[in-house]
Amino acid sequence: MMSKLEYLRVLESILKVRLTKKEVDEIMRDYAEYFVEGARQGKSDYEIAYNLGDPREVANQIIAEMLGARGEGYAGEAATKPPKVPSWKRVGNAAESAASGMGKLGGCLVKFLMLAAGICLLPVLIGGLLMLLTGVAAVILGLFGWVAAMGGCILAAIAMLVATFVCIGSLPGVAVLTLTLISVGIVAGGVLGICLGLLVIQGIWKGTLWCCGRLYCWLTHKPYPAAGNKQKAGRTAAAPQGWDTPAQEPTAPPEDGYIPTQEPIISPEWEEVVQENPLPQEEREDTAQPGDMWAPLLLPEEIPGEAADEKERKEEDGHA
Amino acid sequence: MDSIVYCTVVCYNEYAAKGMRKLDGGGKLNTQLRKGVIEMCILALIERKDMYGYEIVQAIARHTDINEGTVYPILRRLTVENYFSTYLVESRGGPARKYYKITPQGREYLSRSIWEWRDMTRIVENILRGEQS
Repeated sequence: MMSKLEYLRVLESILKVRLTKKEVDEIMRDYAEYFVEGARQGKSDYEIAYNLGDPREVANQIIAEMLGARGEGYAGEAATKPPKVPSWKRVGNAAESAASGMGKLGGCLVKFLMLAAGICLLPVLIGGLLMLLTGVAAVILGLFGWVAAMGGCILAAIAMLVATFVCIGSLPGVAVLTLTLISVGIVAGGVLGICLGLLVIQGIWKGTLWCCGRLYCWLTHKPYPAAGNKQKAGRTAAAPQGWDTPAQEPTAPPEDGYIPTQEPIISPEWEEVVQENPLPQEEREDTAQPGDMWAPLLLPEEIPGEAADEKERKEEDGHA
Repeated sequence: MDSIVYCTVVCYNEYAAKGMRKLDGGGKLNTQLRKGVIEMCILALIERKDMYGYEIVQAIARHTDINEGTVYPILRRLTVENYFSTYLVESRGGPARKYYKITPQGREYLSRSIWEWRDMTRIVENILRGEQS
């Protein structure tokens, strides 16, 4: 069973992933009003929450409806579309469809030709890929050579520096100073060169991996995970405690960007108003004015001034 | 308009009772049908008189077994699509209620939906009668 607070928290945590703050605030206001109206009718929070249904499903439906109204796509609707077929399967399907329209003999011929073309193209593709990788490897090795050369220069400069200081007595002062400065310059330049070389190697390596990943995703029609989604991928919606009807997890592909937060996180202003523990009086007066965005969250007797008015009205009615 | 709401809900209830125990479960057809039917019911109810959220949900839930949470998203979309406008009314001894009022666009959309619904039910009825005979 779920309390009002739990229900609204779960709902908000999912909604805020895809909708704007203004939209979420309005929706939360509506649902809060619903709870208050239900309470007026003598229903418990648990009963109202149960009748509303799983907040995750409700949130998903709201998102789908809102994005549908805006003309944006949503995974829930995308699920109804036919799945994308990988390129290599499309080729096979085209061959099948071509073959089916040409009779048995023609079909066999088309299939044979497609197979032969595939066999001929395969070495070309493999060769091309190997050449590409070899080129990348050569560049990386060349850069390693560059780094090694830089290292050699640094060692030579250090050796020259040591030799200068060993022969400091037999050399004129100007020569010692010149040699020292040259050595220091070579060392500094060498270090910079090594750093540059390593950075370029790293860049090439990452670029190669990125290209391979893109190529793989393009061939298999899988979405390429964005950097942000990699971080979010580990986060899944945790089942709210006490919700006894297991509901399906909100499913959305990473490209859609809709991945619910693991824990319902509530905004401070919401937390402040929603919490069931009584707030200090002065704080309550700030947040619970009638007509305020969050006022529907509070029962009549919780609204400052309203309870006193109600009492007065009852007294007047009693006198009458 | 009363009869339309009643007929729509009852027809759909019968349909739901045959194969789908609850309106919130089932396959894609069920989902699409549910959305369309509930949407029409909401429009028809609000066309009759301005209503607030809880009132609308209860008016529909009175006739059929429904997850009450599924009504609000539709209500919200219809508002975003300018089929409804909203206004707040201070209620005595409680917070303000958000009332929904149908717009001319909403009225037009409702007329079209009703026409499509009647056309569809007529076709389905014809087919069913043909199969039974």
